Amino acid sequence: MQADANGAALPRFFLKAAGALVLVTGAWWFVADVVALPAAWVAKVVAQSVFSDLVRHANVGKDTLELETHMRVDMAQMRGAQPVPRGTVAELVVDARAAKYGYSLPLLLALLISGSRKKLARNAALGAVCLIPAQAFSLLMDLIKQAALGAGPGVTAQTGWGQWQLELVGYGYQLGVLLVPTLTPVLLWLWLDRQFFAAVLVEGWLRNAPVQDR
Amino acid sequence: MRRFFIVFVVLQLVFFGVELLTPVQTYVVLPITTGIAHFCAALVRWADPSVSSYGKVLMDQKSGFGVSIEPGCNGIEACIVLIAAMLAFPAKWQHRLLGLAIGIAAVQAFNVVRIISLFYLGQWNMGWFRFAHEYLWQGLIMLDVLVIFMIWARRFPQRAMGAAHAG
Repeated sequence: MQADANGAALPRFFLKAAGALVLVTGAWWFVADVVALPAAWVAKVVAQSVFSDLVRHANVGKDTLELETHMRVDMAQMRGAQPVPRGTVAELVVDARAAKYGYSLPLLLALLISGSRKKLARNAALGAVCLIPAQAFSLLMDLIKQAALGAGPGVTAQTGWGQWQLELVGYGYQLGVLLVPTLTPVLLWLWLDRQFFAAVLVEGWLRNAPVQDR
Repeated sequence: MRRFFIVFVVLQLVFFGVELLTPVQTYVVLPITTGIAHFCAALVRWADPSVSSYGKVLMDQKSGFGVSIEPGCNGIEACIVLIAAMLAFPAKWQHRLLGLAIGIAAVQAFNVVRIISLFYLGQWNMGWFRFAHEYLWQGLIMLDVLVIFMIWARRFPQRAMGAAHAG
């Protein structure tokens, strides 16, 4: 797609990108669990190395990442749990679908398809690789938040973390859920297809600039 | 371009952190979200009188189906992205303010379409609702923000052209 002179480039880009997003997201849905595995593996490694005081073991399953934690839950205090003898404790295990935040990939692909399409395969591959840390971050923050903040004050106290660390977990979780999966592919696209982006802007500037400036 | 990215990311992180503060949630985010739910209900009642809103919940009285507008669904995060982008981009303040007013309105208008479409999708099929809610609309809203930003950045050239010439 070229930045054209009649100002139709952006509406056309939006419609193409929206259409592509619907189609690519639909296709991604069928392979989401497989393409999300690299992010799950990265999250697993980070969980076991950075959060070793919290995480005893991490497992990447067919479509989930599961963290077995050092923390113990008093089952008698768990709402909705089956009646158990007093003093029964369980190990806290949290899990999440690996592809939960993988929808950043179809968004990036839709933008690349709708942009200049220059070096499309190379940019798609490079972009997919660059998205892995972002997807891993979202997945990991989801699980850490579940473990540290989602199982009640008794479990939160077992982390030994201060208030600011817990606030940081909350912030990281919100960031990972609400912003990172959608913002990262847009920023990556702006970088990978920056010539298209610049061409669209400059064409608009030249068209809107006062005559004496041209 | 590098300066834009750095300023944008820093502003984004700061604004997002401010949005999460309890007083901001209580006195700004929740009232806005409630207002969005009321607005959606008022809009839908033109065609479907059985729809009403309670707080941030949009509900169909006949079927009992309701959707609660939670963080990420109220369009505020999308607006924060737009605000950070417009503030980071070289432009005159009057252009920024005009862009923010129109841009935020456009993001929220698109978000109203999202909420109402999900409301009816959920009553039809929960599988499709989950797919559209958790994956598809997330991308569409950010695409909307991107295009609004690009339209605005194309529209007001003076300072941006100067910055581009300066390298």
